[in-house]
Amino acid sequence: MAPVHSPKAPAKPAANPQEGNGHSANGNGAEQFYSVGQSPLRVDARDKVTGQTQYADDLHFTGLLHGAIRCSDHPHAKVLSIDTSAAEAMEGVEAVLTAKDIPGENQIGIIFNDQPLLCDGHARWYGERIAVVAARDPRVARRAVAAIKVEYEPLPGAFSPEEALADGAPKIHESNILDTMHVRRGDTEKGFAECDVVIENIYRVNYQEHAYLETQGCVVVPGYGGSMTIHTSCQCPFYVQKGVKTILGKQASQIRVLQSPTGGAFGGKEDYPTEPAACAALLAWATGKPVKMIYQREDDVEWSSKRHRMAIYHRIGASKDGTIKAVHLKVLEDVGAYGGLSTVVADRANISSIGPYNVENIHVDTYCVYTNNLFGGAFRGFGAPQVTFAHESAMDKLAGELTMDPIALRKKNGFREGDTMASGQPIPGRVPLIESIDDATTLANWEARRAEYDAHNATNPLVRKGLGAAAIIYGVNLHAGGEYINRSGAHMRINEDGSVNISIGLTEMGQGLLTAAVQMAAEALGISHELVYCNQIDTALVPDSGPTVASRATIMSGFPLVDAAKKLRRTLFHRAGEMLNMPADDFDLANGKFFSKKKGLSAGALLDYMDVVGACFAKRENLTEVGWYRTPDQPWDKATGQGIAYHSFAFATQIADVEINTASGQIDVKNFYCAHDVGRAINPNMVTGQIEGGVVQGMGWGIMEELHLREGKALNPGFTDYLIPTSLDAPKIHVKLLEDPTVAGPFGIKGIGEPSLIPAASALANAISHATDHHFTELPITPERVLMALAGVDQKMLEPAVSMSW
Amino acid sequence: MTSHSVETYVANPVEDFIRAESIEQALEVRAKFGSECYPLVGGTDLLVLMRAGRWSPRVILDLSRIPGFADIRQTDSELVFGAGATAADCLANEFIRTNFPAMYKSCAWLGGPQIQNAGSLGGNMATASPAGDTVPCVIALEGTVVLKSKRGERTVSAEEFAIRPRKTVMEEDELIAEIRVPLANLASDPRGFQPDAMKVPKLHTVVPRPPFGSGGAPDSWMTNDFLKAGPRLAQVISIVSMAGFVEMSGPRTVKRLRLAFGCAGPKTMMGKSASAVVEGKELTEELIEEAVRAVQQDITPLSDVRGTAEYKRMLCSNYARLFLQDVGGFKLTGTRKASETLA
Ligand SMILES: Cc1cc2nc3c(=O)[nH]c(=O)nc-3n(C[C@H](O)[C@H](O)[C@H](O)COP(=O)(O)OP(=O)(O)OC[C@H]3O[C@@H](n4cnc5c(N)ncnc54)[C@H](O)[C@@H]3O)c2cc1C
Repeated sequence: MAPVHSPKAPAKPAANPQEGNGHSANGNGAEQFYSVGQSPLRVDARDKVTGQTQYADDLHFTGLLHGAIRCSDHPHAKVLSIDTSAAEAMEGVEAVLTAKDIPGENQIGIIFNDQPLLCDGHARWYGERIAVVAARDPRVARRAVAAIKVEYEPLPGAFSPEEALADGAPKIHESNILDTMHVRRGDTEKGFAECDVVIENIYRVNYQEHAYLETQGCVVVPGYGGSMTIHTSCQCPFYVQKGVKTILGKQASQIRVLQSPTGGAFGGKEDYPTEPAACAALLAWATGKPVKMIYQREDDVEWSSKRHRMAIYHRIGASKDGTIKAVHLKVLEDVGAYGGLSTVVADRANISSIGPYNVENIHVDTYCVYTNNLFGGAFRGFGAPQVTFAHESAMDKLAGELTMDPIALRKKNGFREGDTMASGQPIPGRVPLIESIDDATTLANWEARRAEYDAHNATNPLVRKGLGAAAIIYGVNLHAGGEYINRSGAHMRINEDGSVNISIGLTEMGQGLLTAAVQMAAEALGISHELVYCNQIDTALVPDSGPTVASRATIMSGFPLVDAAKKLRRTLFHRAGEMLNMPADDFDLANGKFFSKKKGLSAGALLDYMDVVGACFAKRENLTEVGWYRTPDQPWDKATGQGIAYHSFAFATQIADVEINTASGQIDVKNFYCAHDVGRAINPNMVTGQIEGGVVQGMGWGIMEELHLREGKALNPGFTDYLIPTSLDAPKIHVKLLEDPTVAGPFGIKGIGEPSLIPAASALANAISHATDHHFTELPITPERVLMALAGVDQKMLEPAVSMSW
Repeated sequence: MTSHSVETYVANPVEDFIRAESIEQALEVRAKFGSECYPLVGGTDLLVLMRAGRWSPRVILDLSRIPGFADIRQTDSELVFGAGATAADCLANEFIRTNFPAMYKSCAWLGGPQIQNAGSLGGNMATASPAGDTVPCVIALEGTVVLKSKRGERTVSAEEFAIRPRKTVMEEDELIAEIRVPLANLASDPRGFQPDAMKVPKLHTVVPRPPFGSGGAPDSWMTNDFLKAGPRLAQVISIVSMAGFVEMSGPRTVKRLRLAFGCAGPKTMMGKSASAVVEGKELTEELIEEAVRAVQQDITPLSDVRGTAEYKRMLCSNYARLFLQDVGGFKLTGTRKASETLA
């Protein structure tokens, strides 16, 4: 790996080009950054590496009970009766509960009220919860759920969107279409009429399991007056609070959620942890005892959300010179049995489906369709990786038809400054797409390598080589549809010894947020990051700051931290002014030193941070502040998909380098070349780590991870047969970070969590297509799909399309 | 479906765990508890199947500390693996590396380092999974399995040891003591040894051997190799594996060919028809294609989550081709059309 920021680079302060531009880090036009842009050791690294970290399953409480869940034996059925007597009679079982025992509202849907916590008589998938059990021994709890007798009347099921939309399809809900989204721009009929080349494909992408190391788990501890404290492995503690409060019929004030250190999440712990937490809370409420609920791996794969399976009907046309004239898409999202976050995932898929290209005539219809499959939800990229596979595969295919270089085609149509997004909004700020394409192609030595590989492939029948690219535009933060929860708060408190506690409302799930928050808080206040400690994430400490998703956590914790720091600095500067008899507004504070803003730090430090803190305490001043941030409004017209989809956009290009064994179809991923527009890297090592992780996770989805379902049931719910990349499979990953601090994020940052994954599978698909001279339209492109394609077998392994016209 | 389909993933309790200090003691325990006693060496199969609720031993008999049980040694006529020898033991053995590359590669591919340190050859054989990677290697080279019980000792051919998945000819009171391979089948390849081909990322393909030196091919020579297909480079159960052994009587004349396929049927499947095509003949590209097609007659793979039967069939033929092309010094090629191979 060759990160541009070497981890061993000396801690040289970075120049702050934002000075005076109004976006400055600490609002005071500091000349230099001291924490931001450095790569200090992650604050949680030592504990995690040495095994000290206490995850949910490591927590113990007196009288602790263990919960287990009984799910349906059918993908679609009426539940006629539930006999819990055998389970209740088992030694050590303390509670067996069904829907009738719920004191509040039996409703766990996060956006739509379509999902009961415990089955209301209609089981819509294998993961439908019938009953929950608490027992003193976890093994007894598991045996007890198996002893519950359930009588069903099986119903016919629908196992693909096409099946669920067909005439006479079984009714999963009132309507099998949950929602639809659209994009309308220009006139596609006219656009296609002007094309010299039009290509059409149906792209299909399969599920992806998050495969976090720590499975779903929580412990619920009853407190006084019927309150509950919940320790849970999650991304969104406020979602858990809301779900549990609804089920138990309590007030939010009575439900406190502490995020236990979370061993990976990737979107899989956005909405889902509410479900096991609500089950455990119900059992804790019924027994009055603490209840722990930890999933086994197989449960986790079968019951929790997945990256959505989608079918993308894609038509794109261009004139001879490569100008894209029109794009027409139909996206079918397999929602599964319950809505969950499917509509917001579809929002992102819908508006990202054109890619980073100027297209005048656009027609997109996105359908969210209920099926009896396991349910789709949030997963790093949130609908964008699926549509990216379609638009980026189509770009390569189109380039082939036009006999153009795929990079040249992308550059011809790619966004530049002042261009307009599919949503009709001018893209704000700088648009470094072409720069990212150029940087990635330079890193990969694109032209020479493509030619070299073509020559190699012409003469080597066993090993074929390929190089493929994918470019993206990524809307940072929540889509317009999420505007109503797009705000965040942070607390900042200076203690008497000068140390600082911060509380933020977004979560650390392995991505490094604690460290980034500490660095940003230190920079914003003007002190060393060694003085800052970020508290465990706790709903009792901060206001609801929305979910930790959409690559928004660093931005949304950064803004309110800067706001809180500004308020504290006001107090400190006032005190410093009194101490030196100088005007308060001439002070600045950086790296622990007070100096004159007019004269700069080079003119000498005037006071030490510690002295001023001491003086504040002597005067009994308030050194605790709350910061707040609310994103600008995002007007949106759902019927046409026009408006402010996102306020900030990031760009990236990735190039994959592969070798294919044409006897077995095996794919050896040699290199990845990645150029990412990140705004500013708060911690370059962690940003590079995000990109490396995103590439490998995207690669897993692209070429090996395949969840097989039979009638909605996962056939390979364990890691024996659901294969994710190992360290041996990881390619060499070459990273170039494009920094552009004019961005409107705090310190000029954009998100990196999701853009790092989105192009990876598509770049791989194009590399494999280059090596094999075959256009693949389904993910994952497993060795089997490669070999069968080379052997001339048209093998459709995902659900075949039933007659479905445009 | 009844509630029996609810999988609990809870192992049933084990009553006793006995660590044998000697083979005699182990045989006593085995005789006493019969089918309720499961031997254990690495536990890398046993514990997995116990958790899945598929195996429920009352007594676990640990063989891993019996002195000498993991030794790898040579007699006048045989290479002898103690049943407790681990994949890591094989990887550390220089003779295996140079003369039994098939075994070396199968061990290097087996799981990852942790599994290689624990998993034994005896366990791999006794589990009788068609995906056991070391098994086809033993079978291709006409190895045998030495079974011991209080009643005495017997030797069965490795080819006849497994009957179907998880079912073998081993009696309830027997243990696998050793796995033996004739040294006569282990002469080193005169084209030279290729350390590069032994590196993990290279394992999934054949690295062509250099041609014979100036002296030309000896009158009689032999070689063996192993190939395995999987979507990743470690911790992967074979989709298909193949161990090949060939004895030659001239640069391209095949005297004896043994192709053993893993995951191509209920047990290791022997490509006897392919052997019949090439034995006694000089390899040509056409003859190889004939053998490649003949492979199809002797395999019965099923479709499962790891791959369709069709894919597994293509892999078996393609691996046979690669092996024979390498033996004959032909240019290595990839797949042909399914219509040509499977017809
Ligand atoms: C993560 C993982 C990856 C794996 N990857 C592979 C792979 O790539 N290829 C592969 O082939 N296998 C693989 N395996 C399976 C397993 O590691 C091998 O089959 C290994 O060789 C088993 O050896 P063991 O000593 O651990 O057997 P154990 O689990 O100890 O025993 C297995 C069975 O054999 C019986 N047994 C053991 N020794 C004797 C004996 N001497 N006499 C009679 N019966 C005996 C036991 O009672 C039990 O029934 C993998 C397993 C895991 C968990």
